[in-house]
Amino acid sequence: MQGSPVCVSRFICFCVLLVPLSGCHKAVSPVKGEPFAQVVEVRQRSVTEDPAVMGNFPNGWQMERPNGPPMPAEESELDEFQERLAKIQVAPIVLEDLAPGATRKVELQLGGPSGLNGLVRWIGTTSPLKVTVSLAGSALATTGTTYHFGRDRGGSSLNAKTTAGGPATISVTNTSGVTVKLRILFAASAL
Amino acid sequence: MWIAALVAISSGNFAMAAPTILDFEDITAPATITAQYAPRGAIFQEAYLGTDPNAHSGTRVLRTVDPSAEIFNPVPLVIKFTSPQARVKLFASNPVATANGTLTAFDTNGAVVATEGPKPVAHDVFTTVFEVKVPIPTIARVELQVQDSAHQAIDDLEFEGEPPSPVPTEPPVVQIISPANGADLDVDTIDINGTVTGEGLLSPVTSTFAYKQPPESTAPPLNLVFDLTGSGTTRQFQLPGGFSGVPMGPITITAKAQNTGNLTGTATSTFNNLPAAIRDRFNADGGTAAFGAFRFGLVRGACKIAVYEQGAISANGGATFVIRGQILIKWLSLKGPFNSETGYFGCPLGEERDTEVIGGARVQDFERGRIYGSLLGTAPPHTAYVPIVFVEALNKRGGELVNGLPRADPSDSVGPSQTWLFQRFFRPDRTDQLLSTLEIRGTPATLWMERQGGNWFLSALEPSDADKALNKTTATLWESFPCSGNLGPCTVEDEPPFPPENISNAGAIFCGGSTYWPGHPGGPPEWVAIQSFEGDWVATPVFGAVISNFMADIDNVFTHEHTFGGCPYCPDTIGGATTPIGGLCPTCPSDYEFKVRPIGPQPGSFPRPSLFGKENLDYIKIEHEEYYAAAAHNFLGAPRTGDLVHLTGRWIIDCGHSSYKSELHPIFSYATMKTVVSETNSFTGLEEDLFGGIPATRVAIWVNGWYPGGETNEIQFDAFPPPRPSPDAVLHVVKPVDSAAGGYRAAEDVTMQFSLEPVGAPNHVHLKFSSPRRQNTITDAGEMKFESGRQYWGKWYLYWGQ
Repeated sequence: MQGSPVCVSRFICFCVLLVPLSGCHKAVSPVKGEPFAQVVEVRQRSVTEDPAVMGNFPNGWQMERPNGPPMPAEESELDEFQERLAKIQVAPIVLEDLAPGATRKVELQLGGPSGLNGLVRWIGTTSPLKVTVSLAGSALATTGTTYHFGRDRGGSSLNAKTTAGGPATISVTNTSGVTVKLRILFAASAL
Repeated sequence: MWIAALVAISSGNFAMAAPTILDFEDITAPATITAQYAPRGAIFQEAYLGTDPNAHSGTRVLRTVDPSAEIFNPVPLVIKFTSPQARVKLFASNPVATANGTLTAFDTNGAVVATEGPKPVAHDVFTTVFEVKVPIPTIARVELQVQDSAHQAIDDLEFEGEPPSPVPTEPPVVQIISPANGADLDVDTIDINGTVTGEGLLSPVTSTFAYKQPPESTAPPLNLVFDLTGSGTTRQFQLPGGFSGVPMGPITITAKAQNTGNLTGTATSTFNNLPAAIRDRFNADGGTAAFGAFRFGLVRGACKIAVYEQGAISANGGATFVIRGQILIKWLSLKGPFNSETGYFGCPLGEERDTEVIGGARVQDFERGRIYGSLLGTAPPHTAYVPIVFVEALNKRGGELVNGLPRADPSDSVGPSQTWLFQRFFRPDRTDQLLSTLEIRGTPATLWMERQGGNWFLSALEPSDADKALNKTTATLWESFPCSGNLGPCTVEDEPPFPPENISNAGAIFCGGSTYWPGHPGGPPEWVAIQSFEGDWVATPVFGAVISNFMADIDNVFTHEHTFGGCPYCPDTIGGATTPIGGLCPTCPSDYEFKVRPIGPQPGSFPRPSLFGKENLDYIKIEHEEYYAAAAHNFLGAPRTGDLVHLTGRWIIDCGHSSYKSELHPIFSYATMKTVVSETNSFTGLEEDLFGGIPATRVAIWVNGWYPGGETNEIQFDAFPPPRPSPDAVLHVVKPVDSAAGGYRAAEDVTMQFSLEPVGAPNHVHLKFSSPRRQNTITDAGEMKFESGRQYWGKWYLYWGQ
């Protein structure tokens, strides 16, 4: 069991067996000082083949529906979400490109004092864009909580509260030098 | 004659006989000498007649005892005379070394009347002369004692005095009064007494105590010696305090007495000693026709066992149990570590019964374990025993119903393999399952319980038909328990109650008693970490079974980066507005979800009572965005129902719902475990054997970009192979190579370390993953952002080989 020649011969056997695992071509490593164990190393799939690891995200936020099993009815959270959705008013979602220097606005008409949540995500730069939430032209919040990851992803989340109704607006200005893909979500919740 | 006449003249009124000389040449050696010389006036106390080339005359001498006897206390050579003597002379020797000796003469009252010595007694030659004299013949007895010796010897004993007393011509009459002949007794102690009648009686009375013993026993019958008491022609003998530990079954006492005529009288008494409970059970269950003849009895503490030709009956207090058939044969064959102790397995603890397992066998419990008979599916004679250390462990973990029946007797491999006790178990009703293994192994000794998961633990662990068709079954659950010795005992604690207490007030503690929704001023984030200090980045571990898995049917786009199609309530949620390309709505799903029923301790929950939130009382839900996991799921397989899984992740309360359930959201790692015989060839799509059909545990490991790393935040877990198939099987591990040519690597910004444990007797791999600290962004809504540049993935295989 111990010793290279035997291990090598076993390794050859393993290589044949491990074809299903993917390319097997690594030498055996007998365990030093441990006669009652044997370790064989094989080449599998490199982490570099995973685009998420390398930051190679596609130019969008949608993916094809995976083949996983559907959620069983008893697990469904649809009712709970419906309850939540009843509490908020959501503006039509913006999903479009925004040229450098351009501004995109989304408006919600508030019936009275409200809480506001704006979520902006972009693809194209890791630099924060200029984001403002305002009511009837008066700024309530700017910039918000920003984040970025990967090579060109970023986003900002803004929360504000109004004491009256009126037109609430979230505006995003592309302050970077490249065209970005923009996604704007804007919701209000009556107080 | 001249000398004798002179002495007779000087002695006045005493009739002096001529000197008597015993040269011991008249009796064939070897021989035990007691009353053979009584007709000539001397009686010895079972002295030993032997030969010696240095005898003073002839070739025979008389020794105190057989020279081969090991006696550690000095014993004198005693000579009694049947009539008073005036002079005694002898030639002495002492074996081994010269030492001082003394000859002492006593009268009938035991008073010393003459001595000679101490003086050196030459060794190995009979040249040292001792002689004692008294004016009037009063010497009744002499004793020769060489210092610290029990082996002194004499030759040519000469004595002179009154003529020998006449010797009886009839043997003594011996009567055993107790125990009475033919008695049926139930005793631990008996009184032994009786009488001896006749002339010239000699003490002691010797007796033998004969009883039936196990066939391999080489012990001779018990010998007892009784002093005769009283005077006259009828004397008594009795064993002071009685005889304790009376064996069971028929016992015959034979008592023998001698007289000075060297005649022996004998009496016997045969009685039957059995506990009344055994006697009653014997009769009730068919008597001799059913049990056959009595063979032997065993006493184990308060329990007694009477073994017959065709059965055995035990009694302990009032309870009796019967051992029969194959189980009796097995019980008789178990004789302990030195193969010398019949009845080693001890008394039965109950009657023979059917096993609890469907299609099972017969079984009976004993003090030292359990014996099975009629074990179908095993090698002839279809019996096996399970040592008590395993029985106790199995009983603590579900008993026969869960763990099945022994495949064979336990075995071991006590060399370098350090397997002190090893046994396998099978379920007759589940031949599709791997055999379980119990073994005590390593130093310090540890009991390992190795059982393939299945519906004995959770119905979700039963492999689906599709999995079975692909030779994919449940991984093996291993448990370990400390032992105080290589053969036990081992400390197997009861399984802790499940489910443990939950965090019933999770909503109040973590969500301010409110719930999250977008735009909710002062409301909580959607997910709030449970751990208090930098809890969002604590790698909370969970080990358990995946009990369900599915794609989410709805999620919150405000807190998810990527989505896939099938968005409920769309476009109603945006006021019926036209949705962007892709149908994006606030409700589009994003997550892969599964539920885990934890197994074993939940150390990650400290100081909370468990991993469970307000309304998830016996499982924890795992959610992560499918987008980032897609490649890992493709390569490693997503966690699925029936997997054993080790996870780490951000332990949170879901404040988005008033159920305030706890989750790992997202996960930092998973390691799914499955038993596989084959894998799908990625080129042909066909199943191909991996290790010659030997089952292996596949451990598919993913450490991902949500893992924050940092000191004391390592990801650690153990990976085990299937149950060990033999006591000398060797652990084999197949793992991904860490890096190779062409930029191949199994890890990015993750350090993987592993060790084979326990050292010296490895049966599993301990894996540890670590990374530099990197606190992923948490948005104000509670979303933890994925970050690139960090991952480990690979499939490990663990199996047993030679």
